[in-house]
Amino acid sequence: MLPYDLIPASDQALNVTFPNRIDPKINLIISHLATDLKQHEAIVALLPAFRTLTIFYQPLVISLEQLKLLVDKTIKNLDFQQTEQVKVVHIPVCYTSEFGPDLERVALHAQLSVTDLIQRHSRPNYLIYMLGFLPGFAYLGGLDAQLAMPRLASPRATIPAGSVGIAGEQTGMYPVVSPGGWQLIGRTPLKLFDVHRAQPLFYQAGDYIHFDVIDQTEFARIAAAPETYQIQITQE
Amino acid sequence: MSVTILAGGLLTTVQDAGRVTQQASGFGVAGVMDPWAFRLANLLVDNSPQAAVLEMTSVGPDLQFNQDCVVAITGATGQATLNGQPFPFYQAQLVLRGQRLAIQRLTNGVRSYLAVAGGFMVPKVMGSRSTSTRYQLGGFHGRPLQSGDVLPLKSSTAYVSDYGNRHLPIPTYAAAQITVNVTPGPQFDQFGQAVQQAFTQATFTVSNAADRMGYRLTGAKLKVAQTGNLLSEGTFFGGIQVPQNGDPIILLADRQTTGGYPVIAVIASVDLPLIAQLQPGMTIKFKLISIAAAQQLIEAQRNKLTLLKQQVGQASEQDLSPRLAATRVARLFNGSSR
Repeated sequence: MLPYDLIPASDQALNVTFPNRIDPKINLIISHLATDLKQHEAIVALLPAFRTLTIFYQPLVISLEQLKLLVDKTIKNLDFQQTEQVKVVHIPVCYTSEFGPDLERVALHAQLSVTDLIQRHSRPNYLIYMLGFLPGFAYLGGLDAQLAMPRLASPRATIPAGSVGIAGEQTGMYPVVSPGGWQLIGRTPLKLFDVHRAQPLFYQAGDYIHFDVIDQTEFARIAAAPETYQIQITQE
Repeated sequence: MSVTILAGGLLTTVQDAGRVTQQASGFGVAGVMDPWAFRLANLLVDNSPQAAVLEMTSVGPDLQFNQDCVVAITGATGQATLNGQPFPFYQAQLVLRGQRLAIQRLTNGVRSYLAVAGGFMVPKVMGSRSTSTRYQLGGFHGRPLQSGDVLPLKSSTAYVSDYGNRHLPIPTYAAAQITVNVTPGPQFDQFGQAVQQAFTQATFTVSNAADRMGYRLTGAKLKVAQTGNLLSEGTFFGGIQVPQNGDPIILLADRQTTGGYPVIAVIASVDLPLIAQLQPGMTIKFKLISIAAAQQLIEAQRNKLTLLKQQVGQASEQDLSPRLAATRVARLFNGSSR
């Protein structure tokens, strides 16, 4: 087990803090810990991040000392295999200049053809380290280092929902309309975040994202009725 | 079964306790800025603690009630009239169908809470009726109320028979300077002793950049240790983060769920209402207390609430006959409006 600290973060929150790095192993522990603690009645909410799990609790129901003991015990009893199957959520993405205005520039920067760029971007399963910044915004790990690209010098005022982009060594999707400085290379026709759906999001921290390449015809077909699209989820 | 908005006021939104459990999906909490005033508003009209209320800011709205209902206003106080007659704060009142309640300038504090018995019936989004203006979701179409809106209420059966006796003392909010309790934040140790001292000794001013997302403060520049980039982690209601320029920001109801700036301290939960009632130009001093001490304050506040609940209930038992009379009168009104 990795070393960790229990740091009281407020009078109603405790941080479980792991070593200061982006590490799939830390992510796995945090995801499992969050799942195991979810059931406890004194715990109000859990907020997983790169290397911290913030536990919001009711101090009048469980004392800080009791909570620390509970966390220690839960971590000790965590039962998971690092080789276990992972959930991969397949997001259809259309990579064209129309949907990804920076596509050719990113390819040029990576010294690749557009076809090779698309091929390399849609190859990995990207780990969702955490959600934050916007509703459903996933911080993904696993971008091919050659595809890394600095942010736009001046951010766009509006980035359409569903846009897929690259910023530094990260890749990600905009679930909702937002300003932003990411280099855009494609777009998904799916509504990534929809409060009117029984399940507003298709994924959570600890899951993986795979981008499935679709063409403009397929994009138009899905975009016409995104609510009827059957999202593909595989165990790998 | 509704309230018509004749004028929206400066910033009037539907709020409840917010979306605390949705933070893991990146969805901000939103919810009321002043949890204590929110609790008392619902107590006065005998609602559940979670019932949605109107949060009003600096200048309240003009409302026309399309049904009889029991109403109470807490938090900031100032001028309010019902059909031109003074309308009291911190007191449950019967408002009749067709009457017009105008909440004008708030002078004692900034944020008021209007509760109606039964609550406002906007649809729940992600488990809450709170308005998120950032995402344009929740509340009334995800935006502040404006003239012409018709806000649905729960059925008129939510009648509070002893409303005439349900009142609470009016607080006096500070007009210039407050001292608030804070606990050490998760990155407190990274700031070093000199900065920690500057933080507790300086007087900070609330700048004009102060809204439901957060208040930017000016005063002492707090030097941030150069320990490389902090990986984004969870934020807190009342968390005081320090960006590179050294001017601290208090994160409030509409904050993002995660952030990458070090957090030097967090406002003690029971003192969040003091922050909610501040306006730009006012000053703050921070008093550092332990987590244990802050949790004792939470317990003391719970005991105070228990006491207030008893007082609100007891008053009605002592004054049985006026209550009965009021009930009968109210039944007549209800009958006539059906």
